[in-house]
Amino acid sequence: MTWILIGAILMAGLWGVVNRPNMIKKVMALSIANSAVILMFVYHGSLSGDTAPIEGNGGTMVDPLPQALMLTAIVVGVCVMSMALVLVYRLHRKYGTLDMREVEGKAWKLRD
Amino acid sequence: MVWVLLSPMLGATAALFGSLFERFRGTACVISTISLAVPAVLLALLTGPVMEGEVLQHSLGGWSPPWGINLVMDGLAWVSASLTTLIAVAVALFALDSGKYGARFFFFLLMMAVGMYGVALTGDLFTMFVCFEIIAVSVYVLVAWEGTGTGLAASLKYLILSTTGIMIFLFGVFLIYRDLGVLSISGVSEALRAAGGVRNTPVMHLALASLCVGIGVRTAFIPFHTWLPEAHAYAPHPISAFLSGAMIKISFFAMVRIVLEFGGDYLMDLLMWIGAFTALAAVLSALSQTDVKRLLAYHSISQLGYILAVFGAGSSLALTASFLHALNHALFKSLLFLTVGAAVSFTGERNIYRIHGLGSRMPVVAAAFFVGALSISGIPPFNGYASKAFITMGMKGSGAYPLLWATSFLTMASFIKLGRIFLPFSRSGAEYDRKERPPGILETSVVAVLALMCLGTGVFGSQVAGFMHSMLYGTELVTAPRLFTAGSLLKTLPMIALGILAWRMVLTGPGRSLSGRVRALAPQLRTVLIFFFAGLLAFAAVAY
Amino acid sequence: MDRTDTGRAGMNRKTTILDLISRKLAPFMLLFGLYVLTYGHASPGGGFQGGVVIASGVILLFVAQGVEAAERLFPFATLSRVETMAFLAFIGAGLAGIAAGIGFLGNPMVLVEVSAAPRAGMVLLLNLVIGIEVGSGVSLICLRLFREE
Repeated sequence: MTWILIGAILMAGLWGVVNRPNMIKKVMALSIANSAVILMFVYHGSLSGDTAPIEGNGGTMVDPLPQALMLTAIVVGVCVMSMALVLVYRLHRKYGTLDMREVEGKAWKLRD
Repeated sequence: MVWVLLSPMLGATAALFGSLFERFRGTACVISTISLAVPAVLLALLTGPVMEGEVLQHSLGGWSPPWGINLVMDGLAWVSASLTTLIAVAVALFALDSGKYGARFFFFLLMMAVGMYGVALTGDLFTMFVCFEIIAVSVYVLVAWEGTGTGLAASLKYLILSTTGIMIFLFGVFLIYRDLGVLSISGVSEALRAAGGVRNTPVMHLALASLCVGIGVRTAFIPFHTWLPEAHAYAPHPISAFLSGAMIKISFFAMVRIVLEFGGDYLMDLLMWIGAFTALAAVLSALSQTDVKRLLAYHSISQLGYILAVFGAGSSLALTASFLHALNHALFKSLLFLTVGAAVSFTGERNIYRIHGLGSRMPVVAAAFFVGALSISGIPPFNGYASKAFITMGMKGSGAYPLLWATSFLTMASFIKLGRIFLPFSRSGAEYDRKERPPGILETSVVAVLALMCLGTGVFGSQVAGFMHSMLYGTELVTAPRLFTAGSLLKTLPMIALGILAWRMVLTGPGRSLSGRVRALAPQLRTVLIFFFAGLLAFAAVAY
Repeated sequence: MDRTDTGRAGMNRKTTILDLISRKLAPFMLLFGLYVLTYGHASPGGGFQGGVVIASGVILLFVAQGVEAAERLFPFATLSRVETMAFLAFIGAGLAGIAAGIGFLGNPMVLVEVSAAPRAGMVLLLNLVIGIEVGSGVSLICLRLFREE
């Protein structure tokens, strides 16, 4: 069941990336799809135990490796998203629109 | 060995320092360029042990592999790191002399180099992902550096495509971790062998396909190439050279490593056909471009198709040929981007038909450009000829070779078209509004050195290939094509004739209208993404 | 409630609720960020998380108090200087490992008597440096965006 939900989040994100013309929504959708992959890792890691991986907690600890890796992936995701939003912001100031189709139409006007 | 990674990182610190305090700006740029050159010395010192087949390992901070980051230096890593060093130093010197770029620019340039060394040296998949993202974030900044609308849009387009791609890569990493529980490349390779190869583990098919697609976006073969023309064309000139010369090669080498280590032999045929098709389709687009840098960008895709196709042929000679062409392409394509970039910034004009007669204004740069153009067209004795001879031999008897053969004379045709901007005389004698000074001494000497290297690796093509083969396999190259016999030299004549013919055909009326129509095929991001996912599904299906 | 009250025109006007809560909340957010930073080696948390919590405190001040007021507390130039210095310190801490003969990012503390210095010392130091770096970096990104408007 959880896998299906995570898959649904992933699909929703990918659908948004493809189908939303608004640049900010595209970036948000990317972020959503990225979170789905991160969720997969963390959920898979959480199946292997039942307490947080802290020294001295006792019990069966979950696999700490996916959490450590996904923390890095989240950091990377934050960097990319902030970069994307800065680009969107500056494109908006340049072209006065958030519609990717319009922006592309104006940007690729090849001078012949 | 860790200093290969550390030295550009220290240089980046210096550059950041320079961007903060005005006084140190010039010094910081120089220091960062030097720090890029340091890995060359270190790699040269490592040549001996690596050639003897030794695999050097280093754990960062003394943490052992499953938790820490493990760096691995083998032949493949050595080749990719050296290629990065070669191009990075040239690019940094060029950027240093043009004086347009401040210390902050150097910071991002160096971080990009750090990411590339990371991808080349890393021993596990997750660190590879992180390093790919380090490269990517720096590239986004650098492509948008000039702040023009087109640069920003190109950067955003690249961002969306490559983030989607790297997400798929991460998904592949997840599948591997779920099924095998290890992430180090050698560990995965062992686990797969213990399980009886990829064939016995259906999930791994999907994982391998995801990894290939994720890297494929960076490597830019069809159908994942769509970001490249814009990103390369509208980036600052040194960055175009660096992207085209080193970045797409580094991702290609990463893919080679993954496919070879994980037993992806069944992907070879697919990669060969994709490569051949990429080469032909991209050169046709290139032939129809009028923007000089877009033309070169399409040629990057096309030459990458060559590299991929001959890698797909599978033999050890083919792999050597592929790496030799990667090296040669890095040399001549960064040379071409730098010379054409100098022309573009000198004239302030990007249209191929509005730049003339630069040959008399900047004779050395023009000569270097012609060396690059002859190299890419495969004219002896330059290096393109040498690696194309190796490719011909590596692809012998394969069905995809005719596509590559057609590509090579079309390449020639498009460079005849491009070459007119550097001819020493101009028909109309147009004066430019001299936006910038002509290229300085350092810039000129950088392109001159690159041109000499093109000539050198061409004349000594067999020796370079032999060296590369012993780097990769630790053995001598047994069979090699003889480069400069009368028969093989004569074979280039019909190519030249066909090239000139194709160029004349483009200039006729139907040719012009057709190329205009190809040029107008600028697909929107939505179409591109649908294309991308269709490609992903097809890749996964064929890989099954 | 009139629509213009919450629309663009109202953007420069502070409401009492926002003003009061942000004033009371921000110091605690900064404090909590520091806590997450300094206990990262022994409990969930660490450099990045703590840094982001600190940055969110700073951003709250930017949003609620206005850029001018918040910039008196966190000037732009200082933030970017601090960020650079933190990066330098991080590389320096990494080099300390090489000086101790363990390699980049090695923990030199393992060479010292365990009772004299806690082994977590190096991790704590790295966490602090990373926290400062991330906190100032993320605040800088937002400050840039707010200022250009």
